[in-house]
Amino acid sequence: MRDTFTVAALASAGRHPVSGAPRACRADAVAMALGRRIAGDALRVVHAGTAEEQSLQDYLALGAGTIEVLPVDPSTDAAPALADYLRNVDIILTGGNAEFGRGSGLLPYALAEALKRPVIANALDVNVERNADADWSIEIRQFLPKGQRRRIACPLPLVVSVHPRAPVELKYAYARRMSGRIDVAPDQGMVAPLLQPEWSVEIASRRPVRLKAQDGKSAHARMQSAIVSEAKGGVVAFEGTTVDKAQVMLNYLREHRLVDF
Amino acid sequence: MSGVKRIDPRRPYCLSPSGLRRIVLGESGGAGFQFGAMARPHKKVKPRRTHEPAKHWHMAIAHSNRGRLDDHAREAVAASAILATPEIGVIAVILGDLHEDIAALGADRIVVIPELDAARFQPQREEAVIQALLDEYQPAQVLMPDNMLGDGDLGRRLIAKHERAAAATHVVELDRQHVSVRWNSGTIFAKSILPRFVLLTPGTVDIELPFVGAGEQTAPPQISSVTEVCRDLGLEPTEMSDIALEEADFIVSAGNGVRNVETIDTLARTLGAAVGASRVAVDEGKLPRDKQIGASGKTVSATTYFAIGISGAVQHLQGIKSCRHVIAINRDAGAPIVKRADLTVIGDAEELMQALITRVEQARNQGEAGEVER
Amino acid sequence: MWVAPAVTVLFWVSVATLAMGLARRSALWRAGREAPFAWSELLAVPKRYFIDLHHVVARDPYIAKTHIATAGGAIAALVLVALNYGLVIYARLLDWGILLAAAVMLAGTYFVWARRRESPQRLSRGAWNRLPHSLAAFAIGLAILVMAPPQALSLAIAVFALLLLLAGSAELTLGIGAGSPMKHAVAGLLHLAFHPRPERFSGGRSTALAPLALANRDFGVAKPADFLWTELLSFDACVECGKCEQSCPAFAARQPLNPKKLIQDLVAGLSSSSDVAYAGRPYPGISIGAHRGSPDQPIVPKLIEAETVWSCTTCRACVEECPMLIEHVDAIVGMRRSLNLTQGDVPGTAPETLSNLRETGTQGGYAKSARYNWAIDLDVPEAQPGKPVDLLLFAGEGAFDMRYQRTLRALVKSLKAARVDFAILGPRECDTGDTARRLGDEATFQALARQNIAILAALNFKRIVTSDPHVLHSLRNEYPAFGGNYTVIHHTALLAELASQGKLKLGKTTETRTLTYHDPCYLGRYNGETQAPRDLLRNLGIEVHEMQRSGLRARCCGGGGGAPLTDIPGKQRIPDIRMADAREVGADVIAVACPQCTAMLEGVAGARAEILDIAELVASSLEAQQ
Repeated sequence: MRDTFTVAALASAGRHPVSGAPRACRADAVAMALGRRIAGDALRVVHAGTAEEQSLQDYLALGAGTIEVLPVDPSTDAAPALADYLRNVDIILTGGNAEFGRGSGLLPYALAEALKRPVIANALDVNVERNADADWSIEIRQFLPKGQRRRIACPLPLVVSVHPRAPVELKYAYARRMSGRIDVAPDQGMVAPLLQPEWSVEIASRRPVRLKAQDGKSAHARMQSAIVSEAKGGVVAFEGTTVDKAQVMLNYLREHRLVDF
Repeated sequence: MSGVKRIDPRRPYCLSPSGLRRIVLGESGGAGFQFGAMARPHKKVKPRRTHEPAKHWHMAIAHSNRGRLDDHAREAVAASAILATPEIGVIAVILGDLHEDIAALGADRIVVIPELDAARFQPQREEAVIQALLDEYQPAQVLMPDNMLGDGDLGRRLIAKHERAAAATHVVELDRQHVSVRWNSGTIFAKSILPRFVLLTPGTVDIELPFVGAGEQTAPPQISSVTEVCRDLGLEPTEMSDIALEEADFIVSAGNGVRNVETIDTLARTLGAAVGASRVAVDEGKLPRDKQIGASGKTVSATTYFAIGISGAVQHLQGIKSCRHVIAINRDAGAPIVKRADLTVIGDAEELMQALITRVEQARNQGEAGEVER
Repeated sequence: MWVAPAVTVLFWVSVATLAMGLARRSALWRAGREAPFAWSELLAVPKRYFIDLHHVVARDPYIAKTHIATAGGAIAALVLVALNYGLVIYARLLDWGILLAAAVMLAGTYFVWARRRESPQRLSRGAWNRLPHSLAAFAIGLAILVMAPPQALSLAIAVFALLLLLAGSAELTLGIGAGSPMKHAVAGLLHLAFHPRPERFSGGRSTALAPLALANRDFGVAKPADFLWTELLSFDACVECGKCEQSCPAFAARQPLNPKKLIQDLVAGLSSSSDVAYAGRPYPGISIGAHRGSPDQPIVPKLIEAETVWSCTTCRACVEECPMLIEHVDAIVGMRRSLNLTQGDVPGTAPETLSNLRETGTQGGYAKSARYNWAIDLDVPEAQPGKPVDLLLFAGEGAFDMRYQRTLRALVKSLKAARVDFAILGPRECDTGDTARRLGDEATFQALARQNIAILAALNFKRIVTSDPHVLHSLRNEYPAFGGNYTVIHHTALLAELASQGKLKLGKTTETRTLTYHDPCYLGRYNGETQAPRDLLRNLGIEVHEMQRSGLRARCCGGGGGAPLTDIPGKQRIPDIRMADAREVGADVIAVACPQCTAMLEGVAGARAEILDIAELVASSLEAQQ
């Protein structure tokens, strides 16, 4: 029984994949734009990190207005601090994966788990309506592959991760960057160590190695399978009637299980 | 006997699919033995991976798609088997119908739960069922495909609930000791010890296995009913023609050689495909601008791409770089598209489209009849 | 007799009316922003009128002569009337002078009328069709009144003549106040005095855009009052001759842009009216009558649609053709700046390109370190701080395009053959920001300009050479405003220079096909360089079959101003039109000198002429020699 509902979008530090230049994380920017549509000027934009983070300037240009920075040490787990900070927010929006750092896509789930609320992934649209009980009901349009879409009805509060194809336009306006504000929230002193195994890092300069079964085959067997394996390269069908050629195409589709008849 | 090695003219050989005679190396071969036999290595019975009873388990979990597992899901099952040692059994948990045998992927035990179909959204019920299975089997490894079909979502729910300390998502490389993932948008490789929960990106595992699993079907666990907090309101009806080209899995695309736009629309409807176009076709006003595929239009990643009357300018080929199967219909066998296409049919676009429409409609009708019989 | 005093009264009433009208109209102009100006510039008007303006008008000798007769006659008549009747001299001799002036004017109005009887479509009709009649009435009425002996003048005739004069005077004097056609005379002369780009009158080409003071929150033109007052004045000078419309590539491609209509809409905006009275051709595909604005209302979308603003290729053909020297491109970029900087509203794939520029310093989102990959096997030194070099090669975005790399390699080969001491800029090079600036993203342009200026400041070189006229324009004309002053030379000019110094021994080309040369807008119109490429081609033994529109009046390829990115749909594509121009002269080869032109013209579908950069033709002649 509430008059209003509150919406927050999480803004993570983004980096361009080629240049490494700071920028708004695309997925989070889309989530923020969707949040703006739901909540208008009441949308809160929250960044866990430091106010000096350069990519925040991009979020301002994209219309963040004011960004609340929750001081979090990058070497710790941001989820508990964020969960605590956003306890009273009804709808928490995030992108699916961060583009800087691990980008595991686990944060929305960790937040939902910490706050004991449902989480919906890959949302394309979020509709908030007042329902018969004078409370708010949420309808989410969820992305599924191959053009399929699902609708899901949810109660408040919840966590939503937004799909990058959500139909919002990102509009970068320099004037908004100049007029935007960055406010630092008081440090809540929550430090949670990273609950993850040790990782060793290297610059990605090689292709990953595919996991392959150790086959006990002899060299002869491998040779044989190499001989009889299909030759790569396109097949060209010149001859035959149009009906024959149509059959060739259908055969190809069936052979590669591209059609289900 | 002289020391000169003599070549046995009747030594064994097999025929390759293209009809060439191939000598079978290493077989000493008696006369007439296997003479002229077509080699069908994939028909050869593969050995079981292990005959030991399972002391521990590796679990693969994946949603099925129309009764089958897609390649990505197959990789998760195959990886569970490849990583397993002889005393470890592989259990495949398939959410949704399964109409195929997945023992070839190394599954020793198969649990099929048809009610947990990917088409329905029931995360809490899925979690409860998987939890029951995790409790029962206590798997040392849980592998899932990191996809949009529901497995990536389910996997993260499980990880968030229990195992955030021992999980890796978007895994691009793994072996018995470690996993690798990409950080910072792919610019950094991060390596760690193999955690219990692993979500795999597609293409990480070779699904051709030299062995098979036992493939025993096991009944799913019985769990009490679960009430979902979020209610599934169902899938939206989708018309293939409404789907954004970037998302479409099957595209028929018209170029200069297509005279009649209606035919291509009919073909698209018959095949359940979206319609695209080359720049020339768009410039000529045959199709609207938002259908244009290529460097200055859209980049598509359909599994199947029909290029009809498209010569295949570099700019167009750029737009279809990630399409898996390209089938071309073209008048000119020297057109660049022929080099790119997996199958090219030479001839008049209009006639061939009509013939294909007719043939597909026939096949579809027969196929439906066939299913009724089954 | 009462006739002479009546003319005196009419004269002074007219003067008063004109003064009041001017006061009223200038109040509208003053809604615009402050612009630096000096009253003394008024003294420069005759020179600017007779030399600079006439230089443009004289391209159409018919109308040039007609205008001299009409306007010259009218002004002479008015000056004599002012003397003879205004000052109450009433000298018979002066009356003869007035008669002569009126006769010349009448002759002029005849030719105005004759042209308007079957006028070209580019001319606006409506109120403009009234002009030959009202001006003739003025001339005839004046002639009768001053010349007929008073005793011979019956009352009826005198009143009739007076009415004619009255009608003609009304056209002349009310024009400025009411905003009707004759306002062009007053506004036009004042515009010549207070032109926003006075450098145009001192021999320079003046094509650089003015920087925005972003720190002062100057974000361009959102509403008519955001224009400089001198720009508002310039819009009022428009005579709706439609020369701009005729030369506009976007209009030809039926994209929703017509420079003439754009200026008229801005006139409607500054005078708080609508486009109902506009009697010229519309923006293709957009109907007339629904556009309305006022000085303090946003221009887009009620006065001008966004697609109109984004259709422009910034080719400056309209500016080149405008007899009133109006700066259309400045107006368009001003409006783009506001849309871009305050709303981030940019269509097509332009937003992606702009974010690439911000995030990678390249338009395509490439690694800057890959820009000179094409030169890896050419053994070209990379510029290093502390290592002086004569010439610095600035490749631009074309360096990432496989096609254009052929041109760059050809250029390097020629430079080596001429033993020039040169180096490439290497991975430090940032995009110059030309595209960002034309798209109105002044912030990104300025950031990129500052980066490049800092990079270049660390290096020791004498000149910069580039094969990209857009790079040339930014570095040469626009960076000075940010403190970057360089000698920049286009590769065609450099090769011509090397050839004339004998350092580069050009052989005769093996190219025997019919060849035409396409002038890049940013080389020709923006920098006035049309000769060097032609000299080079001639030295190679190639005859250039000129297209009808060439040199400073060449037609754009459609690749400038970010137009391929905003990609506003039309009925045709601009490069297709240009290709048709080439086909008209039977060209099998189009020589080009710009990566944009190369890409746009090579993008033409179907059978087309081959596109070769002049650098490639030069390099192949060197090969043929060996």
